[in-house]
Amino acid sequence: MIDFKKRSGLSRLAKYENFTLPSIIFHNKINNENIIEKNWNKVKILNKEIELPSLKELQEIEIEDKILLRDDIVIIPGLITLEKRPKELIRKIFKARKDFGYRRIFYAPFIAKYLNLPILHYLGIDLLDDLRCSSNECSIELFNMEKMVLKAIEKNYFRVFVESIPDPLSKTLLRISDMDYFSTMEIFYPVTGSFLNASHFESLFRPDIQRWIKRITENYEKPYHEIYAFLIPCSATKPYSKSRSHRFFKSIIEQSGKHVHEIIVTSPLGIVPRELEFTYPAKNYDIPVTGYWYEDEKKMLIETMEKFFSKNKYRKILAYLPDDLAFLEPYLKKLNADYVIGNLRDEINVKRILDLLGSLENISINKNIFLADALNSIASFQFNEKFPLENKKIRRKFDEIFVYDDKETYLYFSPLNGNLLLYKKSAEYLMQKNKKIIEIDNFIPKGSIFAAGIINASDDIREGDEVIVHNNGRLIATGTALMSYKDMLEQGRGEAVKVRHTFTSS
Amino acid sequence: MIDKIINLRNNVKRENRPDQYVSLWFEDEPYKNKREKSMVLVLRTRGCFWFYHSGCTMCGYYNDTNPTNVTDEDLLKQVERAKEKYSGEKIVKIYNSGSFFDRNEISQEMQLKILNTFSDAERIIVETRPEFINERMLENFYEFKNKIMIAIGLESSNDEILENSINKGFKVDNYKRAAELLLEKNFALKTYVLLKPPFLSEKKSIDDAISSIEFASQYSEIISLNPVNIQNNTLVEYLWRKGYYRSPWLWSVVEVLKRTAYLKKVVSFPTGPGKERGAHNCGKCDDEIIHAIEEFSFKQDIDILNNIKECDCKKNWKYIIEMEDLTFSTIGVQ
Repeated sequence: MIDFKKRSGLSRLAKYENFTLPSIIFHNKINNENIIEKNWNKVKILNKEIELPSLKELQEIEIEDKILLRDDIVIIPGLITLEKRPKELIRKIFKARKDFGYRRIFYAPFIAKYLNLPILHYLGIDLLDDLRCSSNECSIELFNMEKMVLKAIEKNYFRVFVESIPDPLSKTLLRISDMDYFSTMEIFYPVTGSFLNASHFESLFRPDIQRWIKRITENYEKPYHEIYAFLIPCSATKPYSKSRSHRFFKSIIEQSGKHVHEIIVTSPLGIVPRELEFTYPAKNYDIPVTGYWYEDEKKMLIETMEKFFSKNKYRKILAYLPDDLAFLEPYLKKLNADYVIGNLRDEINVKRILDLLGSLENISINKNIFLADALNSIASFQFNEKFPLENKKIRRKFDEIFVYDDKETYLYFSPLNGNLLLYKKSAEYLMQKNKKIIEIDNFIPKGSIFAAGIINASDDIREGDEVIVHNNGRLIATGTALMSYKDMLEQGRGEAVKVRHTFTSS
Repeated sequence: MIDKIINLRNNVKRENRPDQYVSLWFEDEPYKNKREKSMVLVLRTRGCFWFYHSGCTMCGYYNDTNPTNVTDEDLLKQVERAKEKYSGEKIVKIYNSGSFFDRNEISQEMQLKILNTFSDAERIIVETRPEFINERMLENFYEFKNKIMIAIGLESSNDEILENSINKGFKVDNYKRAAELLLEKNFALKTYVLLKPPFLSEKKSIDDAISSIEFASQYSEIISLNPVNIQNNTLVEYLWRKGYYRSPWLWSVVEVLKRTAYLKKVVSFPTGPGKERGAHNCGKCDDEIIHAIEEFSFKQDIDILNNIKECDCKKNWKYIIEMEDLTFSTIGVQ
């Protein structure tokens, strides 16, 4: 059996008997583990006797591109023949994935080289070998690269590590996987995290960043009563509101006495509405800041804004942008926005912003209504669903927000991860809507729920998601998903949900 | 596999020139331990019957066959034209992209007429599949008994390889029956053994060629080791383009010849040696080895092979021999 530990994208840290996956098997003798031994027409891989292909199977492999299944090992031969056709190479890997699922071990013989090893693991190949190495030195290099990969997966920087590999084939495969296989890759990216290092050009197309843009433009709904949008630039400090520049924006907004919906313009996320600034990866990303924007970033930014503002309508859009974002000017004109572009050290610009704000009408709406609206905007992003928050009591304590239904907690907004946490009634409400739900056998879980106990899981569940656990429609628990729905359903092993609350039938 | 072979074959556009032979050239041939002149004539016929079923994985001779029937009259024209070029070479080889003794390709009357046309030669070599050798048919050729040598492509003495690598369409037993008959009736037999049909690794192909040669040696006066060359519109060519086939290394040819040299009857004249589509090494030492293989084929002196200088790419070859079977494919590493 394969003991699932954790993922980074499609790559999977796991134990298989005494072996750690991902792994390399060696034909050059550089250590005493993971040796490929050939014995007549069999080969020993991970202590398993694997039969080499017969002539008939070789016909199928070489004419029909067949993928072999031996025991628990899915063998994808011949990838080396597709090195010059990376789209087909990646198609073959994803075809194997589609045919053989997520539980088995994927082995691609005779393809690994020092610089393509990380991307092959990234694409979900658990097992590689050193058959392309005619020398021991080459095998040792692979061995060392493998150690770096394992560490990167363990320490959650595998994606940026793969991005950093200076190899055209590696980059080609990464870009194709981002463009053509987003919907598969995205499933295996957590919705929480402590740090997102977007140091490379390829970072723009990370599945979790693309998911952000997709959710912001497709799921997200602006706070209902906000009628004025105020576009402002991002800051290096996260969350933005703790930065000097954003404290300054806050102060001039307060000074103006007007109410605006702050929308932060940034790369690589495109747009971050103020209420989502605590949410991954808005709170957690870091990029090289130069004041110069790549064409792809500009394009992404404008496209995101176009989609966002065609869905979310404001009475008026204001903007303050520094000089490096001046390329947005034609688009702001199209939006009929009023804007100031320039440096804030220039007093005149501050005054012009105040004038812009001053031109807005006063809105007299209770601030708790704005708060409820903001929570539902977060909910639309997080759950693709909104809650009935009318007549519920809302309390704010610094950045934390509590919602009560009578005396019972209904929702809690955690600034730690920018997520809404569910309680009995909000969970029951979402359960009716079939959002983020997991069905288990009839038992009361303590601490954790393991994948083995899961009967079903809705396909919107990602690692880090707030989830609802039920049995036959009866709410049992709420908690945090530790894996995606795919892994819950297919791995059959490993910790799947960290339970926060359990609800007894009373 | 068979579907693929047929599919590739269907793309072939053949020329319709029933009265023109395919080609004619002169080359040296080992004969009675000497280097002798020979004339090679390739006749155009409808071609091997097996093409019309599917064909062998490495055989592109279909490209040289005629799309319409070739009449006796047409054949006669081909032979008469060839006869004009003939200037008394001791050996004449008459090939027809099929079986000389298949009456659907060459009528029995024409078979005799062709042999008679070149009766001045000391030896006439013709090729056939074993299906066409039988006692009754041999009786018709008794007068040529000491003149003709019958060449049969056994390719491999392993039925599984015949079926799944070559798609040869006959079994080892079919060859054996024909070979035993020829031996009994005192007809000289030349056997072709293939080096590296598809789906065999370099190492397995060496092993198979050696055991096939050893098997065929009991019936054959001479054995020709034929390294596969990549011919147009064949399955081998398809696999090569896909990256799953590499023509054999010259080192492999040398290896087989060395290990069967004791038989003193194995020769090899690779087609297109040193080229990407023929048996080749890495380019650095090809010429020297090609020359040594030819010398050996005439002299049967193993020292010629033993004295080949080591060359950089030999370690690449050794490495491939060692690991290719582990790749779960037969990838043509260069």
